[in-house]
Parts: sequence; C-alpha cells; structure tokens
Amino acid sequence: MFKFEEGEQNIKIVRRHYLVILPMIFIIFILALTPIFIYYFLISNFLSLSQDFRIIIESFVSGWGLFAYSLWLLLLWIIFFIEWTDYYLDFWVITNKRIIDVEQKGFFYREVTSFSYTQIQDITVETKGLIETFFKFGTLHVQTAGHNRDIIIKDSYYPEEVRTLILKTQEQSKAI
Amino acid sequence: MNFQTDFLNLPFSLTFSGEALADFLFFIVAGLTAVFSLILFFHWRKYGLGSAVLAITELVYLVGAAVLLFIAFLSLN
Repeated sequence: MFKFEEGEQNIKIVRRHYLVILPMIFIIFILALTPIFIYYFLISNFLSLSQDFRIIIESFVSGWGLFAYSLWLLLLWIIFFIEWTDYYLDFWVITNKRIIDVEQKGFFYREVTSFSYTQIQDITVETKGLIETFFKFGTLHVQTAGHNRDIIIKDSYYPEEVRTLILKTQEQSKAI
Repeated sequence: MNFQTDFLNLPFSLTFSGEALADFLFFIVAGLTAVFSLILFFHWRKYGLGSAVLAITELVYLVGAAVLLFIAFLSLN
C-alpha cells in the first residue's frame, strides 16, 4: 500500500466519524426487519386476502421461512461489512514527514496520495450544522502547492485538533 | 413441493423439487459468502495497518456469517 520512509514516524491516523455510517446501519436494520413486517402485514386482517392465499403464505413461512430469512440476513450481513470496510479503509496518516491520504472506493479502487509539509499552504476547518457541532466532527480542507487538487478530509473526528496537530508538525518539520 | 417447466414451452420438461431448489440456493449463497469473505479478509489484512479493531471485526464477521449459514443449513432439513 505505502511504506514509511526512513526515520518516518506515524503520529496519528485520522478517520471519518462513526456517525457517517449510522444511516447505512439504520437502513440495513430496517431491511432486516422488513420480511417480518411484510409477513405480519399479509396475515393480518388489515388486507382482505383470501383464506387460500393466507394458507399458502403460512405454509411457505413454516416450511421455508427460517431458511429464506437466514439467507436474507446473511446477505445484509455481508453488505454491512462491505460498507464498513469502505468506511474504515478511508483514512489519513499524519507522520512527522508528510500526510498520506488513503481513499478506498469500492473493493478494487484505491487512491493513495501523499504530500510533504512544505507543500501545505493553508488548512481550513468546516463544521456545518447542529450534528457536526455537537458531535465534534467536520471537514478539513488542506490547500497544497504543486497538487492539482486540495486534500479534503471529510467528516474527520475533532478537526480543530487535527488542524493544530498538522500545523504543529509542520513547524517541527521546518525546524529540522 | 415440485416445480415443472411446462409453462416455459421448452422442447423438454424439467421437474425439480423445492428441496433441490433450496439446496442449490444454499450452495450458491455459501459459495458467494466464501468469495466475499476472502475479498474482505484480503482488504482487512493488506490495508488495515494491523489495527486491533479489524482483528475484532474479523471475529465478529466470521461468527455472524457462520451462525447464519448454520441456521440456513439446519432449516434445509
């Protein structure tokens, strides 16, 4: 993936806030319960279904319900871990020599960008809205010289602290 | 429960049981689970920087997947 240079030390690994994956967890939770809701909805008296249809549904559920539901849960289980991997393998490594931006996009696309502290021109912290303010996460914009694009650290934990750390490390690297 | 393919107007007729269909489905899902597990483990081990969180994740994932596959297997009979 990437190798640390000689004398390079890992200072901090910055990841996205866990709240970012909460909507996905909520959707998977709802999808996991959906077959149960559909079943109870169909057999309830809420719909005027024929008795034969209800018997077919009940015989399917008693015969194959557990099998089908466990496969459904297994599918959701795998989807959850695929999404979680996508979330967890997006990170930024702050070392004493440079910042490494690792971006995972799906399974087989990975982008690794690194830039030294001499390239950093400015760092802006953006905290938008009540949730980001309350849970202390936000977006860091790192403007760099010599790169086609700015480095953006989205939904970072404690962005102010990360900014301070980067600036402090930048000062220390200049002193060396 | 048996299924027939007469309604498809094929030059031949197939009859297969619900049990056979379930067995087939189970092995397809088990195979896909194995493939996705290998891909996930590859990513966690290669790109995870040896994180302790990923070690726990591996365990949780394996236990969950194994339990669900086991339940599916037991409910086949």
